[in-house]
Amino acid sequence: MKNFSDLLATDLHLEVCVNNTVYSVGLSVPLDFAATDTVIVDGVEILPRYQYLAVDGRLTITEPFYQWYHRVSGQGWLLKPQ
Amino acid sequence: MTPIRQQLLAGEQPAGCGECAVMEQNLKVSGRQKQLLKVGVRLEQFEKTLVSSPWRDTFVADHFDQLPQDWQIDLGNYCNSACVFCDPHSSSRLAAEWQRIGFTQDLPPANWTDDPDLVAKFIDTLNQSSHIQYLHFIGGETVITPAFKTILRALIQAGLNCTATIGFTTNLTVWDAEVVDLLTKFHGVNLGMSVEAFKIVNDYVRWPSKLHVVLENLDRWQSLAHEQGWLLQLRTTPTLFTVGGLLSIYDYAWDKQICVESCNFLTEPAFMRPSVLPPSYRQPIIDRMKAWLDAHSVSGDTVINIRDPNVSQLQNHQDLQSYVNYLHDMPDESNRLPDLVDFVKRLETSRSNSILDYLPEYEELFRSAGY
Repeated sequence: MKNFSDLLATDLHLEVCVNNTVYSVGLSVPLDFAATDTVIVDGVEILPRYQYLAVDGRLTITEPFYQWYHRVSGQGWLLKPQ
Repeated sequence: MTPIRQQLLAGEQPAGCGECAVMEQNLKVSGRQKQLLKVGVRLEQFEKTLVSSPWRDTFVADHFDQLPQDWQIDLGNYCNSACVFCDPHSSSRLAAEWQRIGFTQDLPPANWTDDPDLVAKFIDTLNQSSHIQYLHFIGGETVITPAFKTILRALIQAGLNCTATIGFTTNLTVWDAEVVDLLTKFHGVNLGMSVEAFKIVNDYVRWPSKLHVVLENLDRWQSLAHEQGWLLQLRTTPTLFTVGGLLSIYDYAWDKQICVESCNFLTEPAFMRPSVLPPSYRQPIIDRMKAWLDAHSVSGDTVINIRDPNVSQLQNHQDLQSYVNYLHDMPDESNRLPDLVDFVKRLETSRSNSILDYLPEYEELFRSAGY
């Protein structure tokens, strides 16, 4: 089993499937899609499911993907260090 | 914490993790899942969500001096109820009864909240915590615990009520207008309401409550919650006495769109676990639950955030399924029935009641174990 230090040293990526083409993207890399794209990230449907969040025809995710997904999928409070 | 970390690194399960393990094994959302979610960590993508968490740097930091944002505050055992599955550390009334009938020799230590100096010191600590998000109070019956009011007043005086949400669970036997007034001054309230079944057996299990009083208070808290925009939950502790009546809770929750939550599958007292029911008694309950699930069809992703009222029906559907899994899969523990019967017989001499007046359908079962 890994400890935290091992885990943080591991190169982890998102598997981003855009219109049936798969990309490997860093966990904190900003993501930008056309609202009409079909997008699945790590097996989770993002578009068209969250099409209503698109602005001017683009869905742009500037924060780390899993923090954004926590928020938009209704996972409640996300505590942050102060 | 070091021994626990060593056990985890060796792939072992620490003893204190057993309840969550049983819950997850039966697809019930566990305490660790709910708490991890608050820092953005989910089990199905554990490594990626942990590394993406806003707390990633603090997980490996050598030093961390921030005060908590999310508190769980145990006010002690001050309680007017004596639920059969409870223990003296959580009910002063039960403690006195157990001592009187010889279940225990010693009363638990005095509650820290009985000491005004300790309460004042605790309030000082809260006042230094400028980023409090949530304070969850447990007891005892929180509503009648004097320190609850004292702490609420102090939080309001410090202005922390503008951002903090208060959580607590009431046994639905009491109402205190002053507490209600204080609560309305907070940013939010998460209110748990304890009830085991909307059946007369609730009176036996949550002794000495009366179902009609419970229902009256349930209505009062609900009206207030709707008026104030508070979050409501029904809190249950299913035992072998009440698991057969659990559907009355899910019926009610479905109609009112309220989430049902239990802390665990009961582990102690072991002789009161639903798994003490023999398979022949479990099967009709499983069948009724399955029929209910079929009749209340709903599907979707697993709900971990059980405080989202928009998905309460889906959450309840998944939660009830966990009881089907549990009753189907947990090993038969009916060898514990004689211990149960011994316990209730002694308790009933104190309470002048009989389980057979509440659960006549279990007479043969209890008689076979010496009742």
